[in-house]
Amino acid sequence: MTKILQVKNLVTKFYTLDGVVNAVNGVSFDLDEGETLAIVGESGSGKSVTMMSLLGLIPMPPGKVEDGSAIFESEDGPRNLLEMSVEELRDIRGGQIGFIFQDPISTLNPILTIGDQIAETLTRHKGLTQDEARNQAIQLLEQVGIPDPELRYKAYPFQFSGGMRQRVMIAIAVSCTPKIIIADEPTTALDVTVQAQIVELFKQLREALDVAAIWITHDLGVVAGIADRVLVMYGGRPVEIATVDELYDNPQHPYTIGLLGALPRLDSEESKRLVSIKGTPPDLLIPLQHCPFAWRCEYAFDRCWEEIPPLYKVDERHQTSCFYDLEKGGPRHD
Amino acid sequence: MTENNSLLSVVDLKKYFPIIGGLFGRRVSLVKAVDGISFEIKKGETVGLVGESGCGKSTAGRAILQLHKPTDGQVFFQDQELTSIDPEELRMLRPKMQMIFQDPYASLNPRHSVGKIVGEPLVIHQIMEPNSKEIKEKVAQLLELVGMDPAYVSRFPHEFSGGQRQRIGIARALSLSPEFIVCDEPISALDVSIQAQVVNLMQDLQDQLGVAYLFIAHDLSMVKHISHRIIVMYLGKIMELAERNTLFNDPLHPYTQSLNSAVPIPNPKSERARSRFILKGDPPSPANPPSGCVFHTRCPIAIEECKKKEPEFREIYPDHFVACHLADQKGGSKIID
Amino acid sequence: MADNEAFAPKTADSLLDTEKTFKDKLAYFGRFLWRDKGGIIGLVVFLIVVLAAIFAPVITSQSPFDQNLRASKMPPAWQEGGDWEHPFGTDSLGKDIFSRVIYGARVSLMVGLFGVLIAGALGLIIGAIAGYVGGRLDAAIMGGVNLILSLPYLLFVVFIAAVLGRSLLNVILIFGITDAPIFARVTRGEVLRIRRSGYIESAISAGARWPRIIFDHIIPNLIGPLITLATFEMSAMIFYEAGLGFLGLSVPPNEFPTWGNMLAAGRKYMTSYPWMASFPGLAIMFTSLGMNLLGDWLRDVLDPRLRRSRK
Repeated sequence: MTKILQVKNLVTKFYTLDGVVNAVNGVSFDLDEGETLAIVGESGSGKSVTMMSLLGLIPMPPGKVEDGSAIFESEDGPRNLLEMSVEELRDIRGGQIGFIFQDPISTLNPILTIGDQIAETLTRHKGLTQDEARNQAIQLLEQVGIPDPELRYKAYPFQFSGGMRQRVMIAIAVSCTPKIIIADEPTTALDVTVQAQIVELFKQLREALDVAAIWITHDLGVVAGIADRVLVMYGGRPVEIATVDELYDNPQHPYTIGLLGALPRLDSEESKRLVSIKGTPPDLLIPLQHCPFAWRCEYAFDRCWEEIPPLYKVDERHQTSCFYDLEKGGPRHD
Repeated sequence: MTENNSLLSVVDLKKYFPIIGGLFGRRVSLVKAVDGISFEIKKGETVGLVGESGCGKSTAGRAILQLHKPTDGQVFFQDQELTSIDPEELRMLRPKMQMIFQDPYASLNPRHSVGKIVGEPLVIHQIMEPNSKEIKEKVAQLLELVGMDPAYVSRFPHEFSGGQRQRIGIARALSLSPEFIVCDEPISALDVSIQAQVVNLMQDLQDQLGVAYLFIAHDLSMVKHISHRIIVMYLGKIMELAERNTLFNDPLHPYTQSLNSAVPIPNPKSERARSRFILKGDPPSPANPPSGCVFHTRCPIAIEECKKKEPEFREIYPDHFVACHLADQKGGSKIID
Repeated sequence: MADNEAFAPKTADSLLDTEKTFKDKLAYFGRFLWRDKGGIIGLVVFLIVVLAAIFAPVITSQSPFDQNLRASKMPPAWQEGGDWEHPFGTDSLGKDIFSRVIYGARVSLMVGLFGVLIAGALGLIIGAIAGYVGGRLDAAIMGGVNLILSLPYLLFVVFIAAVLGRSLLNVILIFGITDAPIFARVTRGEVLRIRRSGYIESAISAGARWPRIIFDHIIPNLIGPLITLATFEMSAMIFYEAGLGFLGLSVPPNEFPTWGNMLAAGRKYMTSYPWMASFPGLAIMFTSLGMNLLGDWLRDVLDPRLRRSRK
């Protein structure tokens, strides 16, 4: 399996009035062709900032990508996204890397018809003529399940419901047959029945196009349904990476365990008390000098307060950054 | 239904909002946010109220507490009918029925200290004097009850995180020892790990103080976890009302079945093994509700009658109510087996 | 599990426990001020003007009223024919311009301060009622407000001046009344916004009656935006006074020096003795600009939303 994206040691900071926000503190992950990686975390985990750093969408003051590399297997061979110019990134965004954001009402241009917006992507990245682009746009609208595509072509974003707008975003994202689709909380703002529709649509398109995807969310239910592998982030650090089955069956990081335990289950008969993780999400203004989860961890010991834990291999395709070995019941030996 | 156990009784409650338009501010049309809902809440129980956007659940909660004046219907609380009593009497009842709000960032006055916020209800009802030793003790007690350090009394809301602000809101709601609390999406704005903290707190408080909740939310999994019974609303009407496990194991209404099917389960094997039913279309706007059964436009098993006649909300099994023409004890309203 | 007390606070929220010392708060305030350098400038200018007005007799030994025909039309001290006894020169009647500018600051500040107080008080009450009660009363009040705002300002002022006569009090009254509508509008807008806030609903559900809602909840949250508006309006009033003076409708010049009437007197001599009008003109510009900068900065400072908030 070729790796279509290899991110190593990404570090992003924001220089604000209150101090330096250490949003991403050394994240590394790979993405294989055709696989779906879910990046899971709560607020302050750095999951959105990671993606925005890759796509060059961080506002340059006050943000700064300080370190790391992101090798993308583009049409022109392996390129480091973090070293590309603004122009080159703009070319890749929407073309080879499609993206879907949480709230389409703010990412779709309110004064252009949605048909025109799809066509614009096509003419820009695939060099189609106006007519060719229009025809393909209509086809795309049909593919994403928008009824009366010819008519709806001329409609404006405000005339669509949230679910429909998200379908339009998906149409734009897949229009240029991207190699990767990056979706940042695409269903968080949607009703649950609409969310199910969008997830279903995504699965169909994914299979049809054999495209790789990064799905960023805090919802571990959605993740269970669509991901091949999962990366859990906390305090700007990766805390666990595993295949989806491994993560839910055999979580190794106390945060992951806590997170899974905090979820109410629709299919559980007994109303067991939810596991709550004490404390609150970390303050990113404090420069990271030890495990960001130490404050809230019931297994924390001295080493946890002295060093930042690296990623340890638990199994084939399962890593965790924790000094405490849960299986053994004691501190990990390097 | 045991009468002496009943705390709150809602009878055919309606709340319509006029849409004002035109040059002279005339009423152009009506949004039927809540269109005739009836149910009971017993002492110390949690009734979940769940539904998607536009279903009217938030409006229902406010209409029950008379924060919106109901357009029609009645609300009985401790044998008092709330829509017809005079304002002073209503104000006197308020200590017993409180509310926890959705947005922890907007529901606390940014200019008031935590102590002032939590103690205000006590001052309003002249139970204690502001700045008295009494009230300071009570406020400290309340903060401890919700798991916050009493030293925070002099701090201001903006210094706290969302979860902590929600705790402050809960402490305030508890200050008058209410018997009933309407919780309007109290955890939606919080991170997952904090949601669990707040929900556990609410359950503990219920065990300790015997307070009843109307838990309004859109997250069906969480509602199922905390509630004893659940009401499913759609476009201003109740589709189904049942005990929590029954609602998931034996849902009678097609909408409930779709909801159950749509909610993701955090377990990949279960997700793969599920037979899903995906509901088509979007929830319609409450300004323009469909005729007959409001759900018929999206219902996979709708028949002619569903378009013309509104189904009656009736008891099919003991304590299990549905509004569907096809619902009967033989499973006539099931979509999937 | 080792005892972590020595290493770090138990939970992330006990960052609240790290007492913000006065030094920390001052440091934060300093950074805030530095980021918005306009704020520093505005504050400094405002302080200069206020101090100048208060300590006028200390700053200049000259009287603003003394005529000295032999020393009339003298240029500023650094020009040929000037003298440091009259740093900004003298006017056509020999009155010292420097001291007149300094004493004139008193008038400008009084006009600004009292004008804003009257306008603010009137506007606050009217706007608050309109915003809180709503409905037809609101429509009626705002109709009236808009009517006043649409009146040709100059005609109105001329009329009042003609009827009541020219005096400092009348100038203040005129500004107080003509500016009240602006305060009314802003107050109404803020009241409408605040009414929709969650904490108002919370107060109602706790059983609060309207006096508590208005005085305890709405008004404290109005103060920020109103102070900001007041700074801008003060600056505007200083300008207007100049305009009035220029037209000869402000305080009569022999009664008291104002920057406006100095401009009027100096206009005739713009080509021959430009300093007579220039210095009051510069004073007006300087003060107005400074107050505008101050107002901008205050708006940022007083907005609780912009303060550091945690997730």
